Amino acid sequence: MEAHLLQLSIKEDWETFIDVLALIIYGTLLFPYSNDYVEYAAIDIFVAVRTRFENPVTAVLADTYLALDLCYERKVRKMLCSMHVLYVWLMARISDNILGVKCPVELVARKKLDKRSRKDWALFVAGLIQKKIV
Amino acid sequence: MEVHPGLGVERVSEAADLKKKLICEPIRNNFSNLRELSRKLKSIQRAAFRRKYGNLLGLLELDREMDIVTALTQYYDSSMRCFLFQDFQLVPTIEEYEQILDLTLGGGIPYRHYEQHSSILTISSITKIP
Repeated sequence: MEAHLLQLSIKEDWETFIDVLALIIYGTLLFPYSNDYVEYAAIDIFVAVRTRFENPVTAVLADTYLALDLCYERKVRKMLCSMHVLYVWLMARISDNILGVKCPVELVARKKLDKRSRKDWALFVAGLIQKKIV
Repeated sequence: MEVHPGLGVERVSEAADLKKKLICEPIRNNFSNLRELSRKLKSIQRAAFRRKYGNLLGLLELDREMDIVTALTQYYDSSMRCFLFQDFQLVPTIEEYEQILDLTLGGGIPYRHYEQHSSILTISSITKIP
């Protein structure tokens, strides 16, 4: 797929380039399945968005809940959902002036987090109390 | 706008108090190639991409700290379908996800699942992969 994307950029077929890039992002970032492999469900959602102009937001959110449930109920160890979106969501909730702005992603991207160990983050999340959440 | 990890951890001083539930490993894809390729788009094309698919390029460029999300998943309560913290609950909502992805539902149709998979023909005509 990435090789195909490169080909398209050489041919300067940007319209197709945009579609293929979006498809790859759907398969790897929004609905990840495994490395180097785009799941059929991700393709279906992509096609629905591309040809029928449906909105993928509910699918991304539902996928997040499903992945969390699977982790607990069936003891699946892999979280197969968009960790990017979940990450932005969490960061938006724990920083003061992010929620409600037009594009939280850019603000979260600008915020540099210090590197912390896994244990430190676990402690941090455990210490979250109501007044710290916006 | 700063996050102060360290504040508010008095009550959980011992690591033993931490919830010892499942550790859900996020899948770690490597996005560096894709970022490289996406930078070939000029700004007008990036704008076109954003109109069509929302803020996916912004998400792609994001450096995320995965361990904080891993920590968060341990506070998910599957019977209540939300994240449970010391004195409050929190759930991601459709509105917040709309904002993050920069795609508003407003009047549009949400994704509906069909039993049938989309045809290979449609996919190959969109992607121009023979």
